Amino acid sequence: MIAADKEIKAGNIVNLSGELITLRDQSAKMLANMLENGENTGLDLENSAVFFAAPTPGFKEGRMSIGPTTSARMAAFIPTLIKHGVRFFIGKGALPKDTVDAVIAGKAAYFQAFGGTGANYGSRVKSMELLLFPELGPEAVYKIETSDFPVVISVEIQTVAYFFNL
Amino acid sequence: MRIIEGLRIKDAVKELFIKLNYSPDSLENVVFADPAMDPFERKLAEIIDENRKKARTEMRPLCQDCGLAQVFVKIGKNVTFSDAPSLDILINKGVEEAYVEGLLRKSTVCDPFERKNEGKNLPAFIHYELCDGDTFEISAIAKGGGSENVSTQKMLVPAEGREGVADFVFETLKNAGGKGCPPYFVGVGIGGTFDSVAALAKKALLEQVCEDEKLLDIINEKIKELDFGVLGFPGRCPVKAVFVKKAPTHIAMMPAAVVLNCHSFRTGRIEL
Repeated sequence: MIAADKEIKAGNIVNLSGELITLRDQSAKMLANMLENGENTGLDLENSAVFFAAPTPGFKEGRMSIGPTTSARMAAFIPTLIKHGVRFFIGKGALPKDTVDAVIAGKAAYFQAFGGTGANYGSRVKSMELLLFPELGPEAVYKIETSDFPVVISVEIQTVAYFFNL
Repeated sequence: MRIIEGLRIKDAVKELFIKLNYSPDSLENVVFADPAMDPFERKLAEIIDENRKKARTEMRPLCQDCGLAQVFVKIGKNVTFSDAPSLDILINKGVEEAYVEGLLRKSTVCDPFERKNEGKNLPAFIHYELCDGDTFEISAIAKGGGSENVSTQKMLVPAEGREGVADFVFETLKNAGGKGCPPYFVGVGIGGTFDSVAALAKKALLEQVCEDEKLLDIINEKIKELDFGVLGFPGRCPVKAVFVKKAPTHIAMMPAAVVLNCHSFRTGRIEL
């Protein structure tokens, strides 16, 4: 689970802490396919948070950067991920209208992170573990433990704030 | 004849791409936070400024998208290379070493459909230009996918003139919104041919020049109407700088290209 340091309200910048699962173009597509086919992914997605991102190398050296990529490219996979337990999505930019509807209907939430500030986010990652698809390189699925990740709740889906008790 | 040692070229390219991703000259004197911004936009701009400091002091890449390596080489006719396989190989080797040893993310996939990542960030995308004399110059840009994806190109009608080009620049920015990580550095190319105009727009970014003040004035006036600011959120500062380059073209043509670069503006130049 993730936690925020202040009230989730449209336009507020909040700091999120907790576990995030990284996904992006290829890995999101592959994971959604596995979920739809009923395959065992080995991931615990219940109440999980997905971060649309792919890191640089250098975590061990204390030099890793990671920041959000455009969420709209992965919008098609969001309903499937919600169906399988994902409750939070963090990425760059707004989501298409029909995806916003799916997020609200699924009682999920979407946060916008700040594009191009990977050094800042990287310095707030406390641990990192490779979970799936190592062959994808940076696009592989990682679990990262974050501390005080600054994000803003997307204006378009401010109503979801009421569904949460963070 | 001037002889340049091949190894020097490889090492210079390697150093350049590492520098671009941690503390590029192009961002040396840039500050995004502005007292004129409202508090929310200023907070976002401060996060960007803070990110730049972290990148330099903690040696973390400015952005996790360390870009495709794009290289513009200018070679004087009196220059040749010693113990060198070929310039292509030297530049590519320099890029590979920068991305592997510099702990940069490798974002290149070798086929647009198969999308396999071979972990070298190769090939470098190289433009060669021949000139007189002893010159050997390498300009480079490390440019991420987000802002490249919202760059555009269009064949305008000559009668559309500067107004038409400025409208096209405005439309490009409007459609881009926050997708390419504004405040944007905008490179505009006008003239040439379908293929050359995009490179011209990129050269505008690399050289940070404006070859048409009248066009710049019209663009600066129009972009005041954009309805987003820093990082695409409501605000007043979607654009940091606009650069313009022109080239001769056909009587029937007016090609235009608009290359948007994110706030992580990573360009540099070396002379050997």
